[in-house]
Amino acid sequence: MSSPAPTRPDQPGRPGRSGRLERWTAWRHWPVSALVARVVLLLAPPAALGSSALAGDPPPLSVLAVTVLFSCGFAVAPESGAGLLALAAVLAWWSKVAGDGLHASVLVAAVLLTVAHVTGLVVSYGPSGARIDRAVAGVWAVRAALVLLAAPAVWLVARLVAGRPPEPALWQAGLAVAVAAVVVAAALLGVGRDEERAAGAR
Amino acid sequence: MSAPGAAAWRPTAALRRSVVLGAGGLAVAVALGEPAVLVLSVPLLLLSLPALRRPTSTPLVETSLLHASLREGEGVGLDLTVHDDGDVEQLTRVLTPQPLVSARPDDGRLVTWWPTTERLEVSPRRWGVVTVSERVALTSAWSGFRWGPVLPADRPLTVLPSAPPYDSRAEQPRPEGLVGAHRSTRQGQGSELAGIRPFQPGDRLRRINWRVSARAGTLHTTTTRAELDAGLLLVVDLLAEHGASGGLGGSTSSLDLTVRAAAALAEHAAAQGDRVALKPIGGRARAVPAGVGRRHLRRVLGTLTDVRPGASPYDDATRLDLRVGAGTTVILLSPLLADAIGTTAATLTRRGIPTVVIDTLPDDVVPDLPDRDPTLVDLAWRMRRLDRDGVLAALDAIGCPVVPWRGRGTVDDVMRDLGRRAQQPRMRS
Repeated sequence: MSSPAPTRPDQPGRPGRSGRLERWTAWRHWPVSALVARVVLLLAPPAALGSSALAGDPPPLSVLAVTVLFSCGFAVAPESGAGLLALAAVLAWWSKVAGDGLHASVLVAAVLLTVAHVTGLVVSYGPSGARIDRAVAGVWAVRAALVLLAAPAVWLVARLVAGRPPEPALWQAGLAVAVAAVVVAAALLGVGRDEERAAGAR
Repeated sequence: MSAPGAAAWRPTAALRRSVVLGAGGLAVAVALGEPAVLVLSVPLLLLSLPALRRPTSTPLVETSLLHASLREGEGVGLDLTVHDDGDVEQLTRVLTPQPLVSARPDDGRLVTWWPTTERLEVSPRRWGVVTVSERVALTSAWSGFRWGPVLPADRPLTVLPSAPPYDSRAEQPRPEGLVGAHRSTRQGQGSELAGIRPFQPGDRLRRINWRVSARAGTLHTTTTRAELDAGLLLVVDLLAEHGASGGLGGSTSSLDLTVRAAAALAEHAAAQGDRVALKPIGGRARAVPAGVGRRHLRRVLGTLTDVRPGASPYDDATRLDLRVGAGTTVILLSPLLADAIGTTAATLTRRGIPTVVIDTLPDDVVPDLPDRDPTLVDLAWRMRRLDRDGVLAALDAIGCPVVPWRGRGTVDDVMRDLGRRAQQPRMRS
């Protein structure tokens, strides 16, 4: 007599159609902190964009749609370039806001932009669905609050000098500082990449 | 330990984002005269500045399990040591998920500041050998650069079957040997009272019962039973696994029942000082010869831990050589769905060897054949169960007891029956 085919315990294998479906619906099992972080990534950039409406210059739907699209990518893959594009879209739109754009709502946009960036940073510490550690989130909240203090300071200075005649020397000096900062940053990152290549070649 | 040079510090996506948006925003603001962009980009620029310092250290990570073996359902910590951690601010550890292995915290994902006292804990829910592996990533200050993720060396973890509470008060049917914990049917030097009888030449003086002697007026001695050791041969059926295993506390497969019951019986016998031997039928496992002591028990449990089900060319009952020694009781653990097992039990019983079959087929088991016609599968399974019932009836007819495993006292009744049967005169043909 032959015994019927035995049943086996669960074995890991190649993901089939149901496996792929599970991967896309895995967020239902995520902890609340991870879900909240993804919602922040999804909503903060469009909200920063939309805050220009308070300054009397709401973004057109096409810009909003593109930003929402990038924000979706940011929420799904926080380490991808979608986050950079979503935040860059906000910056680009605020450079087009009518007037000098120094309405108080720009401070709201600055907060939302920084929150989106820091949330993406904290989320990218761990794999998808990982719980956000309270201590890690707390320290980054303090860091974000500290750097955000610079935003109202810059805004106040900009408001003070807004009515005065333009001083080309000041802007040229500022431009030189900005270019120098970009060059230094690029050099630091570039040197690092060269070292990595050299290490890989060894 | 991770190999030196296995990973390098690379800029994080957050650093790239903050540098591009901060410095780029600053440039655009200055170039176009847009103070609003300056307000938006200054916080991001400030976040990027402390993160720009490139780490120079070369970390090495090493993981270690606090215990190399444990029982199913127990937990063990997984420690992490990071050498040359001067640039490390944050640590991420992610355990590779495995079926029937639970992990803490957060299902084996730990994201925390470095240094930390937190550790990962794994708790296998099923016996076997588990390979614990994880990925480790380190991040520098202000999330500027990331090192890894790397895969430190895997750690094997032996998960011994959890022996359910088992105790038996039944005597071994036919103990033999010199010393042991079991009462012999013969009288001898022991502590168990056998009776009081008149003194005979050769009796030891210290055996004289003075109280009875004074009352009776003649010398009487107390007789005791000899205490002998016994052997237990555990024959485990590894030909197939029936039913799905859900781990400890979940659904139970036939192999789960077999392994856990064998472990409980072996531990009980070893605690009594009996010789224990293990003989697998089919599957992938080696036989363990008879032996005593804790070290031998570890060997038996280790062998049970590593068993794998499967048919082998030596499954034929005529080829099975159990080599049962004198004074040994055979306990055969099987779902009784293969010919060889029934035949072996019947052969042993006919040879007069005390044999007990423990039925390890779960009540609710059904074949898992989703790609076949369910009606045919059901019919085949019912026919198979009828065949099995026939084997059970045949074993019962020749006096081989078959009992389902129910933990404590499972074999008490049948052992007592076998003991009484062993004391009766037998006719050898």
